[in-house]
Amino acid sequence: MTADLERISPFAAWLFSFFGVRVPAWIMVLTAVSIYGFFVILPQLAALGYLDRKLGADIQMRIGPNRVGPAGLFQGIADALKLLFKQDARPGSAGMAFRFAPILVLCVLFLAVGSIPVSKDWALSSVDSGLAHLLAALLLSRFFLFWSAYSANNPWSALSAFRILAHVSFYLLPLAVAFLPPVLVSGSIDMGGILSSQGGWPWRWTLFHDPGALIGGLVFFGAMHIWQCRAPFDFTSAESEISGGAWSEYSGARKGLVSVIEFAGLYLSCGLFAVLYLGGGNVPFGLDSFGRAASLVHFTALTIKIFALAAVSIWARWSLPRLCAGQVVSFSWKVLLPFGIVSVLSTALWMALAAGKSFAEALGA
Amino acid sequence: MTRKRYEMGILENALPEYAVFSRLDRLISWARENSIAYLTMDLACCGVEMLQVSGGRFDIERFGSVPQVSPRHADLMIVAGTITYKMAPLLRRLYGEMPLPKYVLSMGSCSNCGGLFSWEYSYSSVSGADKIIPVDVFVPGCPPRPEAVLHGLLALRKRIASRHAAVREEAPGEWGKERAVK
Ligand code: SF4
Repeated sequence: MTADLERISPFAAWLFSFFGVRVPAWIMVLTAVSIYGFFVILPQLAALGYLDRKLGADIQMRIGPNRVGPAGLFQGIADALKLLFKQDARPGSAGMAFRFAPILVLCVLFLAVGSIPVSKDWALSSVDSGLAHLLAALLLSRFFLFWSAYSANNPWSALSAFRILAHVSFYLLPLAVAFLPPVLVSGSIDMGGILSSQGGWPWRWTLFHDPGALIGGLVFFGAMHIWQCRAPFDFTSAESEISGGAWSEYSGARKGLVSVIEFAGLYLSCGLFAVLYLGGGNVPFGLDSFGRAASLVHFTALTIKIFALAAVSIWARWSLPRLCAGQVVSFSWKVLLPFGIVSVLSTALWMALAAGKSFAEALGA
Repeated sequence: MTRKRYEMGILENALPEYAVFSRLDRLISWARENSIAYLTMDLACCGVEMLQVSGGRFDIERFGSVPQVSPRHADLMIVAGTITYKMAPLLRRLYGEMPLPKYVLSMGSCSNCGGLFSWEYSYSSVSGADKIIPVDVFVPGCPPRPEAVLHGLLALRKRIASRHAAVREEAPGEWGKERAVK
């Protein structure tokens, strides 16, 4: 039983290894999902939101929120509460999906977020088909996004819905190709396997394994940003052309969900890049030799990486002008895709010629 | 589909009307006054000054206020500029599309009383935003300085704090009906 649970949800097994109680597996999984969602993921999303506002304000030479709590730390709480107590308006002509499609988007994104492993113990879900499952979740979330936009029955939302559909062809190929170098290097399609094949030092990360993987990493970060639909790639929800696009009809608590969805996307693109290419929660110096509490060290390491990457992403968001669809597609197909193919081929060649050694190992040998 | 006109939030429909929670009241108004998203109605020259309020020098985001482009995301409508007869129905419509609770800040002489373009001088503009929608705060000036708009925002925050947030209010949308122009 426990062995099975460890295979499905290592986090649930880890959590209940502290208590000797015997409870049904579904209760364990449900508890683990709620604890992970509310105490691990949600605070990080809130912190990303705060970082976005403060860093964005700094880039525009403003101060940003500073009236609520110390340095405006509780601004997110005020925003969430306000949205909760606002009227939840629904256009009379909106379709049925208007109410539940954003929730579906969030569920699917949570599937993807939950499959990011912090360490061997701290992985909410471990799926054998790892990256394939992830790619499916990323795609499905965009489908539900299309659904929620189309059901609003509003010209701008409809335009945005069709842009979201077209958008799939922009990021899908480079993203799928850039998933491959870590698979080639680690010989595993499972996120846990990819994580454990890397080490704490930068030269043991996939990114610096060989020149091909380095290019692959950059392509992956770019493709994830196109997937994420945040500026400069936010032509699907451009407020100057289609006034908010997919979300222009959502108000009240559902508007709050929209922000959660946005920052879940940011978390996902930075977290995936950190785990696949930047060694995830692995730490050097054997800092993680504390038995079962070692996961806290891994968690800290991963969080630092995610927030450093998010700072880069936010920097790009606030300083680059929005690209139009044609520019995004030419960036994706003329830059990301060729470099992605080159990276896969050269990683494969490297693995064959250097017998699986990394660049640093080949130098040392 | 029949909908209740005063549907304001999750809690209000769940509770009887006489239930007043003073602490909850305080909490909700705290959230409301610290997170006022505003719809930018820049209709004329005042609009440029309104955009300046969210810029680097005056930074309205310090108070948690951010500009929004969709009326569904907004709490406050800043009417900045001359309301022509052509624009007036759209203004009404956008006001109607904002979810409750909603506030209006009228900025500049034109939207306060018609100003340069009041009915004595102009054949084509509405003499004041309060002829078509209920206004919470008037900010005088032609155009008002951004500091004046920030002062208006602070006044609005006081106004929000003085209301009972946890009880139902009369829908302000009805108010304008009797005073519609012409
Ligand atoms: S009040 Fe003055 S500055 Fe403002 S819109 Fe009217 S004329 Fe322009």
